Amino acid sequence: MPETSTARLLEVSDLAVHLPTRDGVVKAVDGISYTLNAGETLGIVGESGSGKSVSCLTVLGLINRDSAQISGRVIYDGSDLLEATESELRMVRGNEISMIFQDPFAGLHPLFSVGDQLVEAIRAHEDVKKRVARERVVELLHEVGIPQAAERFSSYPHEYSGGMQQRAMIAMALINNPRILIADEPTTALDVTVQAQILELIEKIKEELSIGVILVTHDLGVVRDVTQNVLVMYAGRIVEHGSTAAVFAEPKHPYTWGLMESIPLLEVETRDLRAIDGAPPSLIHLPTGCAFHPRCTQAFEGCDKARPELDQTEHHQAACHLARTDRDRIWQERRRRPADASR
Amino acid sequence: MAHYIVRRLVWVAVVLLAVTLIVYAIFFLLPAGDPAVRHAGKIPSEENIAEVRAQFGLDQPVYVQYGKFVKNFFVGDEYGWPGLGFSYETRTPVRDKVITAAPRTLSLIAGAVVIWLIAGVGIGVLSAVKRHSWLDRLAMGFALFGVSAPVFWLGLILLYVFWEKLGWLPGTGYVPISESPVDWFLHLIMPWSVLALAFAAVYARMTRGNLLETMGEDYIRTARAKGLSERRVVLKHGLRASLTPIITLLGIDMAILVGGAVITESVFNIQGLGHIALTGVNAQDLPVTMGVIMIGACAVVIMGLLADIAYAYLDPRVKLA
Repeated sequence: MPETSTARLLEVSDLAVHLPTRDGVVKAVDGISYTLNAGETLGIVGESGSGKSVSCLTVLGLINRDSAQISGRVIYDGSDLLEATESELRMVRGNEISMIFQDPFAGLHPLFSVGDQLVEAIRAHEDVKKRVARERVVELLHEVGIPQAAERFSSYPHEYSGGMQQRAMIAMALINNPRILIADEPTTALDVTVQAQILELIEKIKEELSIGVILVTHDLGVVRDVTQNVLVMYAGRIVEHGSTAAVFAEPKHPYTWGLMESIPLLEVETRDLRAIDGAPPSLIHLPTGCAFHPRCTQAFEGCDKARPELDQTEHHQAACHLARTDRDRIWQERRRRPADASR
Repeated sequence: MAHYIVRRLVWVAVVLLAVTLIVYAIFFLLPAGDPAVRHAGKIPSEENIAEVRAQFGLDQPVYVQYGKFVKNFFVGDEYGWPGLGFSYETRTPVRDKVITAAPRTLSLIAGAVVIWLIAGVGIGVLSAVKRHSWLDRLAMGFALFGVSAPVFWLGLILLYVFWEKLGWLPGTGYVPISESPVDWFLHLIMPWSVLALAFAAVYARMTRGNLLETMGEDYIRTARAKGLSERRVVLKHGLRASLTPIITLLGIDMAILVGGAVITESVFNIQGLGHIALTGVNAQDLPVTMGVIMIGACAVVIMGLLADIAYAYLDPRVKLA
């Protein structure tokens, strides 16, 4: 394997993003750490408001740095992006690290043609003639699977289908050969059949270009299919972190159990789907102790006192007060038990 | 497109017809006195009055007068096209009056538009970018002043300061651009500024509001994520989307002013269309009133059409049908 494929691309440590509001400080992200290697797809899962998107936006400095309190480190290419100036960040955005978003239609400017928007992305980082840039754009549009790319160059976003819009967004993100692609729920707004195509496209690109991909999603099925490692986030913190295979084989955190029980996964034997009771907590007034304890089926005395830290194990960690042996036993029991028994 | 324009032009004719009908109705239904009596001399005899009445065509039934007016407007009369009739008061063709007055009003509007667009959009952008700063507060204070300051008051203050006291600018009146472009310009600076102020204020507020809204859109985040400079994000991606509604509003505002810059024209003694409209109404001079109203109405409907076409041109999502 070439050396670049295992090179560490991004190292996030103790990243916290606190957003002061009139009602109090929203702890959108509250101390998360992870690394991303070349050729790796890292999944970040969690419910809405768990801090997935904010943590990604912060990496690129797309959170208003004047109003947010950001701490921690985001090491890319030997330097801390959180310390970077606006113009340094600008060189990274769309060039070294690219990002695509949930709703491609809203993400494309409605008044400029798709082609022009891609040409602009090239010319933001490279001094090339429009004609040359145009050729590159048409070529890339073709590569990401847009039919009649040359004619489609001048079309406006509303003349594209949803799947084509996301392909165009992906092309825009890749046009400057970035080393990292952050995909923030790239398939959520798309039809199921199109979702699969877009994920395949991202996979193909990752393989071909050996880039690192961060895939933010709330869909565990997607995580299992395309990621190598996964972070499970809850209320701004990581509750479980490990290789995708390990996390799916032996999930260690009650929240992850809940997530797994709430979706149809073929090899998990739970036949009925169960929802996690309750709603995500307010990020201003987090529950004391473990933020998940009010919703946790396994909560016991003490869960509301101290906040659990991630295990200090090598490849698969969870942040839970349950003893490690108990976790494995409880999960084994839970997955065999019919859904009703847990009520 | 051509199909759309033709259909809209038919509508323009229908609207103009409706306007004439309403103005005629108001004029004849209101108890304003007999124009023939008014214009027949100081102590007119019955014969005098009858003679004037026949001369003005007022002896014919209203619907005949109306029909004649409409016909003349669309196909022209003995003074040319569009036929606007003959002034009761000055006994000259209304068309000539309009032709003399129109360049004055158009000069006034053109300069004012330039000022208010530059000032309004400029202030609006600064305000939005520096939101909640002292600059923003200052700009919005200016906007409040701009919409509240009465034009007649402001006009008189300017005249007093720059003409009477400082002597930097010529006073009231109008010099055709063909006579002396410099004098034309100097005479119009104050009227332009006064007329532009209120509009600049409205446009500044609108630009600020639109831009702030646009800057929250996903495509602005995309533009930033591409690595564009903040300047380009605001001035290209943000402003482009914010200006579309402003450009279309501009058309209508300009059109309304064609017959409506009455106060500015009066304060600075620019005898434009607003001025003749005013004298026409005061003198119960129906043909003159009617003439200016028709020109104003034409301006509004045609600019409305142009605004719609511009909108379709500026926003590819809009289809004219």
